[in-house]
Amino acid sequence: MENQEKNDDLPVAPDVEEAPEFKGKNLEDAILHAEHKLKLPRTEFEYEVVTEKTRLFGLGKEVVIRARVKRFAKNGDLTAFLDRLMNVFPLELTYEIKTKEDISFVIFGGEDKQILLWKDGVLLLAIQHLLNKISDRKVQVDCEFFRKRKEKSLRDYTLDVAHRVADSGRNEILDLMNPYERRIVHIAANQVPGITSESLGEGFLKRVKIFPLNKRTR
Amino acid sequence: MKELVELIAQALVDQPEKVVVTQIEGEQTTVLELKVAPEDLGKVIGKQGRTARAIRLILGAAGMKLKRRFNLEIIEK
Repeated sequence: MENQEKNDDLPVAPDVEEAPEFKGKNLEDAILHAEHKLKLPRTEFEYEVVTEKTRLFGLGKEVVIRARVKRFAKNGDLTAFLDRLMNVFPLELTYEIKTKEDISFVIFGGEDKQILLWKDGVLLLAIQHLLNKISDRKVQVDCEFFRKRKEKSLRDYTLDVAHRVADSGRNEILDLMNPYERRIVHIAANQVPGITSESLGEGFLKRVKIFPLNKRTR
Repeated sequence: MKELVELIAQALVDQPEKVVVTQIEGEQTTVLELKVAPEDLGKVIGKQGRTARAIRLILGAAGMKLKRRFNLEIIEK
C-alpha cells in the first residue's frame, strides 16, 4: 500500500512565513480583519501588535498587528486515520491527499476502487462524511474522476430537462438531491434562457423544480 | 472487523476510551455491537442517522469483499 501526501498539482495554501499586517480601530477589530483575510479562526494564527497609535485630532485609535499562521502538520489527523483505516479495512485501496486552500482532497485508488464507486458512489460519500467529522478541515473525496463524471452527467441531464421545459412550458420536478448536486442543477438550469429553478422541501435532501421564468406559457 | 468499527467510533467520539465493540459470530452474519458513552451516542449516529448509515455502508462494502454479512447494532446503555 502506497500512501503519500502530494501537494504539487494543486496550488497549495502558502505556509505564510512572511507575516502580513492588519489594521483595525482596536485590537479586536484588527484580529477580526486578520481572521477575515486569512480565512482562519484566531486559534490558528499568532499575532503581535506592531503599532498602536492614536490618530490625528484624536479621532479614534489605530492598531496594527502582524499575524503569522501557526504551522502544524497539515492533514495530520486525516493521514493518521486513513493509515489506520487501510490496515483494518479489507478493501485494497490507496489514497493520496492534496490540499487546496481550506479543503483537503482525498483521492482513492487501488485494486478495489470499483467497490467505492458501487451504487453511484454511496460508499465514497459515506467515507467523505466520516472524514469530514474527523478532520477539522473540509474534506472532499474522489476516485477515478467520479466527481467530474457525476457533475457532467448531472449537468447534461439538467440541460435536457431545462430545454424540455422551455419547449413545453410545463414545470418539471427532479428527484431528491443533496446541496452539492442541487447547486450544479441550479447553475445548469439557469443557463437556459427563460428558465429558472428553485428547491422544494425541507431537510438535507430536496427536490428541484425547473420552470419557465414568465408564466405566459403556451 | 471489530477493529474497523472501533477505529471509526473512536475517531468520532469525545471519549474514545469508552468505546466498546463486541463481535458476535452467527452462521451467515456477524453482529457488531457498539457501545459508547451516553453523551457520545449522537456522534456515532449523526443527524438523521447519517453517520450510523455511513458506518453501516463501510461494513457492507467490507462484507462484499469478505462475502459475509455484517450488522452494526448501536447499543444504548
